Amino acid sequence: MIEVIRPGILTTVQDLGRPGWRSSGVPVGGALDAMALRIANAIVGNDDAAAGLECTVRGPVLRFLAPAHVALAGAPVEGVEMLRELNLPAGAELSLENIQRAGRVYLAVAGGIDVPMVLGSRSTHLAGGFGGFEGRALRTGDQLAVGRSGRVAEPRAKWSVSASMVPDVLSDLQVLRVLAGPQYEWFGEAAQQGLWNEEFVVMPMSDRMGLRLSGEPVRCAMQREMISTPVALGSLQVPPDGQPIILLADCQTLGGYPQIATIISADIPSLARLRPRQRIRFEQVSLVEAQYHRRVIDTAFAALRAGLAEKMSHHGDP
Amino acid sequence: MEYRHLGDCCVLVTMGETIDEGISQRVAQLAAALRSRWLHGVLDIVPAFSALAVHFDPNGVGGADPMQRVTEWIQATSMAEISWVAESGRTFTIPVCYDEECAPDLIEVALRLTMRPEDLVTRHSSITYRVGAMGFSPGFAYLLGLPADLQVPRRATPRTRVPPGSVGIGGLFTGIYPSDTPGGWHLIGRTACVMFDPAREDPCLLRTGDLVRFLPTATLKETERLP
Repeated sequence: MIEVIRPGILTTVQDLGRPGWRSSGVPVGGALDAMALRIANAIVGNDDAAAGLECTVRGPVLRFLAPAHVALAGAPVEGVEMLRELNLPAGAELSLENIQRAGRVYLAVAGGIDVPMVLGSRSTHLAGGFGGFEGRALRTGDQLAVGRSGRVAEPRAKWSVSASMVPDVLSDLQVLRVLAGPQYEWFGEAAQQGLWNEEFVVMPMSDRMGLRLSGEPVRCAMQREMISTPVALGSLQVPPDGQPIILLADCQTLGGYPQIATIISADIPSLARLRPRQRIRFEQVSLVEAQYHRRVIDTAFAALRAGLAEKMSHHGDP
Repeated sequence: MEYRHLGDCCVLVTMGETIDEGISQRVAQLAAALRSRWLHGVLDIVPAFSALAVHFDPNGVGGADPMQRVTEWIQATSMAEISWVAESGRTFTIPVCYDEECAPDLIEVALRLTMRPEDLVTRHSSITYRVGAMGFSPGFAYLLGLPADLQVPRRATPRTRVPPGSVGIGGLFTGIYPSDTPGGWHLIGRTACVMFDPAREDPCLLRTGDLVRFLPTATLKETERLP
């Protein structure tokens, strides 16, 4: 059991989401920085699909009622070692309150957070009020069950994962790579050039549904009626005011605004790492390049998994 | 049919440029055909009014160009497996209480449409609607078929919370809000039918292509049972 001493600002149970239900209007959901959660899970020997905690801006204070093996990945937390296995005795308290740069950090625990599966996932869907822990963000006094794990670990892990797998410090002007979107042609030359040349700023009132941007308005040249159409994670939607919104994991399944571009899947985890007021710029890539960058990330993660499996198999060797 | 990519993990197939029952039915038929011969690595098949999205995991689909593989699968399915003959979906009759306390906007909408509230109710419940798309929130069905004389623009200021089961009209559509979400449609009735329940084996009462009729009842209590 894990007891919530203080909940933090927005701490939710998340896994890799619930694909398969978008045709029922159910968002795919899941960890915004899925790569960080997968790495934290890999460190403690969990499956990719195990549920962990997504902690936002100011994290929780937790008490572990039984011994636990945990790992953290994402934005650095003051006073806590990142990207390595931490072996906590019964009664240990862990404070994740001081997340640096108001970012997001993911906590994985060996065995996973054990909440009921809803529509094939343990992710919290906040707007729908289901999944995760009672369909809501954590509160003081909540007690989270932990799944079974055969984990036996060294008292102090001698290794950690390279921080380059989850680059927290993005550049002041972060480049996001995109493919042209399904309504790209609607926008006309001037708006298209603006998209590639202008900088945008991440607005603070962004949530798990969308990342709001501010900048020189992107005006749609073609004033035509938009029929609500499917959207994807990373769709760059442009409402009539010309200020784009990047859709995140909890976004609706259909959208009524033209989509000028789509963030490539390799850059989706970066979206969760952008800070309010951070400047961004878009760079157009080809489908072949997007597929290449995705393969690079998948290969790096597979290598990490294999490396950790190797370490575990030698554990206890003289 | 027009194929576009929506990022590197989704194919968007556009089958028309208007909201039309015939087009949405063709989209629903293609979705059904794709489901019957599901391709490994495909995560979601999402039919909307005039377009269909196929979300996939490139690792699961495999090959040098997973996008191409998914596109070819859709093309082959659209040519081989669909008769494109109009077939009816399932038909549901949903009891609705149009009583004043269940219908906060009924009188105002009736005034705008220059008809008596009881005529609006009679008209709204005399039509067989078709689910054109699921979206907006879990279990929310956009119903097509609202006659032109019942169409009003959405509310200038959306409500921040709409009671679950509220029956609304807005623009071309009518529909039922499954959960207490924000909403911009005019509320003209309410039902106790549960449109979405994640604990049910089939969480959504409705799916794209289904036919829906509304049956007026005297009280909200009477709407608890599907006839």
